[in-house]
Amino acid sequence: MKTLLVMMACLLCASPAFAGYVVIVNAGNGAEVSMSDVKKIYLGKKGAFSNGENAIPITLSEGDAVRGQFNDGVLNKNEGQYVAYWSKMVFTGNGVPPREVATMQEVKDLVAKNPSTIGFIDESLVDGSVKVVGSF
Amino acid sequence: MNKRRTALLVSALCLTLPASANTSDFHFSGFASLVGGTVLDGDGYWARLPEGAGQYDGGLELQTESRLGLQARYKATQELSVTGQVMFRGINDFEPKMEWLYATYYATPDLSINVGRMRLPVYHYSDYMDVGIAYPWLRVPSDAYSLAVTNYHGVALRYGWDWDIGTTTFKLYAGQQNTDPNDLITTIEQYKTEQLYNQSGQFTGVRGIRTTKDYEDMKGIVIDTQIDWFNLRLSFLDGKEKFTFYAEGDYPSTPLFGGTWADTRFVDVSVSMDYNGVFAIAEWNDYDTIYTSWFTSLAYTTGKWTPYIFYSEFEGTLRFIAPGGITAGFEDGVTGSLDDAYNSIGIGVRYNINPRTAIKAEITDFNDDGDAAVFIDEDRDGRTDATAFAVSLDIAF
Repeated sequence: MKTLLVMMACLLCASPAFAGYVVIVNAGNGAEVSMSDVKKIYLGKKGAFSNGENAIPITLSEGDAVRGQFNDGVLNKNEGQYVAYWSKMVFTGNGVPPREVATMQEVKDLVAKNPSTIGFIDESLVDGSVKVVGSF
Repeated sequence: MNKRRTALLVSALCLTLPASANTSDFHFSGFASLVGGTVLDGDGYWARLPEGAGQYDGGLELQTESRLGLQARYKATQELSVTGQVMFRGINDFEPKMEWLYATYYATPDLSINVGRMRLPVYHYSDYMDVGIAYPWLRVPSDAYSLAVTNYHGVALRYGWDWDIGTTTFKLYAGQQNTDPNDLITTIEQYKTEQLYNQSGQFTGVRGIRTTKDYEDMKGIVIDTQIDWFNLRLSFLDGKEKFTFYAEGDYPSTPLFGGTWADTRFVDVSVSMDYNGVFAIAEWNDYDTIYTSWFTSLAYTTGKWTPYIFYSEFEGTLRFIAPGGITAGFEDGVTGSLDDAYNSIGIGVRYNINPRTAIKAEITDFNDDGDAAVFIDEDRDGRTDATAFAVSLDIAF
């Protein structure tokens, strides 16, 4: 496991050409997902994909650099604004913030397993179990 | 009895915390604001919300606006959850009170129904005005947030509609609420007509009157539209209410006046934009035959700092004449009633220590243009102008 992590870390560090991050859904998810949909799903404005299936957004832990990049670039919110936004949503009973996991590998594994989920990962982690719907 | 039940619930919440802080079916969160303020000029400043909080008349007052909220959400199934929120407010000596308790059922991912005790969603910031971390100001500009009912018991239907360029959330709700005493109205009336002075003319306190307000048949709609950085929110509430006033010592047997049902109609409109760190908002509301109020604000976020400015205004429509007249000697010459009119200018700054912690400071200049006293009136002329300074520490967890 540790070796795998180290290998992954090396892979990440050694491939600046692949420093792109992508938004992924389950390979079996037939819905059309635009970046505008991604934003709405991650801000709790939209609870389902275009095919009517539940949409469950997955994000990384607070303080993670990739999460910061996603929040800034896709959601247009810095971490402070993101927390303020979700405080508002949670304390008004209008939504539950995206589930947080520690690594992009976990994001990928979750999305590969659960057809309702949507996440973002490093491009290099993409395989046949997931489908890329956008990049940032 | 109620208090004991709440205390039990709070203990239960706290006990479950370390064991299951956030499992997939149990979600625990909370927020707190520690607010301290003082009066720079005038006899005293009263922020008034919620529940009459924010009374500053000398020294550094740290209690009345400070608050802690704990929220637990239990997800019973994919579709059904229960949410409870307990508030500890300084204005209530930090005694725990069940703020909300409701069940949510998701019929579809975008259509849900809430049943239970909830916040009355009349204003833009109704739902989260206690959550300081969620807005730039030290407090939501309170001249424009004067409705004397904050929570209700009933049902709410929420539907989120994605129409491509934007999203619109529709909320339909219905319910009722009894407030006895009504803390906000009681305190307003006390300062308006029941101030007490000693022989040398110094303010010594207020008479112990009591007011109650019952709200029934409340039906409301909120249409909240977001198009990228632009937001438009429309809110309308219709219902009936019964106000009752009791002189000191007469509660509950002998009301002095009131006790009849009247129609309630409340409209609120807010327009806001949040673009590249610039946040601007204007919110206006009209409480049919009672008052009109509004505020506007501009805030600019650069790095961890958010300086802001706001202007807010309240103008009473109703000039109620109490039987027996008004004793204080500053009544309107023609109608014998007092008018309520005041405005505030606030300048402040928010600094984010980290995403979940902010400190804020604000100077509020309160101008009392009406002849009714709004707060302590030492010279008994009905004008209660004041300048106040307050700081806060706001957290979310």
